[in-house]
Amino acid sequence: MVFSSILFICFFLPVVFISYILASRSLKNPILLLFSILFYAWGGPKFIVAILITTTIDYWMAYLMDKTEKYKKLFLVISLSMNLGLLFYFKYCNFFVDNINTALAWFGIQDALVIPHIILPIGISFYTFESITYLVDIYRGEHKPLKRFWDYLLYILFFPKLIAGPIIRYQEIEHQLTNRFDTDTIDNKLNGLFRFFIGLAKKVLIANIMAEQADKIFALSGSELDTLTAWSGALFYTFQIYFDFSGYSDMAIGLALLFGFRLTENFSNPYTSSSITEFWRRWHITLGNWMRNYLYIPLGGNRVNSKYKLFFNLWFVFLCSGFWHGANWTFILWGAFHGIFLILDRLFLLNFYKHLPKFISIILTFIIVVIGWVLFRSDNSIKAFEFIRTMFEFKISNDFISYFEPKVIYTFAYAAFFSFIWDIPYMKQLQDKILFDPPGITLSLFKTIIGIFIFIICMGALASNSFNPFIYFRF
Amino acid sequence: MNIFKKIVFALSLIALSLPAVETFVKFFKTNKLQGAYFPKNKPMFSDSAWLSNSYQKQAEEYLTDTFGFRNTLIRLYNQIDYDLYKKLHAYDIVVGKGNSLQATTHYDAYLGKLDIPHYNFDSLTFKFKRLQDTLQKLNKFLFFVIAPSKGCYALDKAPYWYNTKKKNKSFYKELTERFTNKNINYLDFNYLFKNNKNKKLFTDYGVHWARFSVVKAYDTLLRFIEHKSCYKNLPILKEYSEKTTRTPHQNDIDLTTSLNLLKPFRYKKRFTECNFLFEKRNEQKVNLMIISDSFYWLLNSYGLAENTMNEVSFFYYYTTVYKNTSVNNISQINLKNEIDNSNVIFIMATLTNLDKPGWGFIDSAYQIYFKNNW
Repeated sequence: MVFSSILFICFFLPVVFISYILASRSLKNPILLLFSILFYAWGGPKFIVAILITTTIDYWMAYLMDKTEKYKKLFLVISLSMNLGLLFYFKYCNFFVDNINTALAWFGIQDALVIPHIILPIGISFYTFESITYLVDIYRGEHKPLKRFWDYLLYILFFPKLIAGPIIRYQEIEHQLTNRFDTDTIDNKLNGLFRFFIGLAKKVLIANIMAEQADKIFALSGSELDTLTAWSGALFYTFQIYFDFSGYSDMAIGLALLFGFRLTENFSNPYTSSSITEFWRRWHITLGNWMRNYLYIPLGGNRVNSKYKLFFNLWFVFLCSGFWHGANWTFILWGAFHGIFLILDRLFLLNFYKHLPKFISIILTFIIVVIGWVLFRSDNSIKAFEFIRTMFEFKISNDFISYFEPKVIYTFAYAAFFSFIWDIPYMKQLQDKILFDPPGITLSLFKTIIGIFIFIICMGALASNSFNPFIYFRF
Repeated sequence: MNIFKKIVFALSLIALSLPAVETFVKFFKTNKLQGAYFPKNKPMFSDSAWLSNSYQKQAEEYLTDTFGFRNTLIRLYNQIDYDLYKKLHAYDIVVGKGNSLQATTHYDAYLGKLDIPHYNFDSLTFKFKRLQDTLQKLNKFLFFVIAPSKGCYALDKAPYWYNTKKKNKSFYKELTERFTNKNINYLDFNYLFKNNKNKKLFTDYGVHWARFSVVKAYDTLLRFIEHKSCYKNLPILKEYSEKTTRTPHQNDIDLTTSLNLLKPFRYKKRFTECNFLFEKRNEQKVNLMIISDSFYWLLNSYGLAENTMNEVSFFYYYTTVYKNTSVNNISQINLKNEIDNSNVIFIMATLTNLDKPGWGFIDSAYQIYFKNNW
């Protein structure tokens, strides 16, 4: 069940929310947990038992870690092995088997390894990482384990963030799980509902339109592609992935606010970044934080002796980050590509940007990001390189016009506007005021009217178009 | 202040819940959506359907198809898209130049852009020619009619974003070349219409030939039969006059019927109507058998064939047969008897339907006359 579906918006959400507000304080978490389990069971009925079992094991491992200092490490290793092993099995097994078979085929050995096709449980990448934060933070002694098992289950299974994040560190939500009366306010509910509608609009009114065009262009063969079409496709996808994923995060954050949870922000106007280093502080922030805290810092972080070791660590973290997105060489290449630019930033690019007007560095960074998205979106690495080559070989034709019917032009313009406008002075303050500040009477009325208007238009769009897949649904 | 905010929030929640309530209560009556579509069936729950996710998928589709205010919301969204972006949400229909309505499949067919599976043209033309010659010996005239396509006629009205470059050789070109080479009888209305562009033989809002244009087209058809067959002195168009009107006939605005807009569609052009009279010149009884797509409905919109021929049997896509007042499925029809009873037989298809010429009629008829004699 995706958030931008009629089932979720018209049926699931009102039922959950009304049940939640009618429930007594002690029943609020069980109600949320019950509906979260139902939410997961709807999309992944075969995996609900598996996730419940692994979550139970994690809870008890954390409990034992806290109780016994002697075997602390052993329990951590067992639970990490289980979580990462499952992630590896479900997400990467097919990939490795395919690659081994391809390599062996060069030596004339056909289909040496045969395994049945493994279906990826939805949200596994997200809840595995969240389980790891809980276990590692307890191992590090940063916090105590939860007293109630149900609260831990709710932390992992809480439906707004279950299948596509944001990835919430346990310590960020720890107190809200047991006591959120300071966040469960009418201001947050108003802001939450408005945020949900904003996310819905990003997904339904912008990302879906961009997706249609991007899909058409990325489906073209190399001979059908020309330079302007390739750039159009890359830009369509650049806006699609941002408005899709940040829209989803907005919906998740908004939904969580409705239930009194304040989740960590996942995006902060990433396309206004003036370097790739800055981009990664603004794009998928919770993944970046996770990678820093649970991979980069354990590898030595910035404190390593050698510059080369530092660069290698940076690059390795981004390689892993790319691989986390999917079991395909294109994702690995995408991670490696960003890793290289992070190293270049440290070597000279950041200094170079300082000598340029800010908007030039924003444009240069944006172009790097766009090229990165081509690697990310392409079906395979050969197609990706072919696509990027076409972007720069000046093969000119006017075929690209066929992807720009009036609605696409306008939507493209809205997408560009809402991607870059926030770098203009005072606009960021305005954005913060609208999204985060407790609204006064006028603003709450204004936001409600705008929200309901967006809701009506999006419902019409959802009913009118059946094309509604989420990019991040399977990651 | 909090009370006010709570009221505002409660109102939002009510708005959010209204579609769900309306789904079950059906408090408001809304008009059905226009156009052809398959409504989703209510799924049956079972363990296996649940575990395979098929129940969930069907349930979501069913709810999306039936939730409260759906029809109104669709009309509202379609209207906004049309007013702001000239975007339509009806299969294949786009807004062309001059606010006209165009069908992209017709453009695609004319430009050779349709992905059509391999077709055995040799077998088709061989069978058709053999049937044509055999029936001719039995004083029956078999021929092919290519109905005009708006994709060819109004290519200059394609929206700016539609790529009008030809891609592959179209079925139309392939078939007409082969028909000519093999001496197969055919009447190409598409060619005739294309060469009479100034006469506005298609309206801006219809996908079929304009209602008035079929009168002359029918006269041309009769003259073609006279010229090529043994059937002479068929009815002839005696009187003909045209007038313009602001009130369109439904046939001339068929592309607007499935747009599902909130407001009525506004026509910016006038329409042509005609008065005419066909004169019967002898009492020769000619029975007509037609295997055609929807273009025949228009050809007969004034009752032209029925009023000028002795008997007409119409095989719609070779699936449903209309004869006199009866309607039958093709399986209930004895094809041999029908052919025996007919004097003139023609297959008519527009460019988008040329990939399945006759929709099975040619093979069936061939089987009757050349069974075990390939």
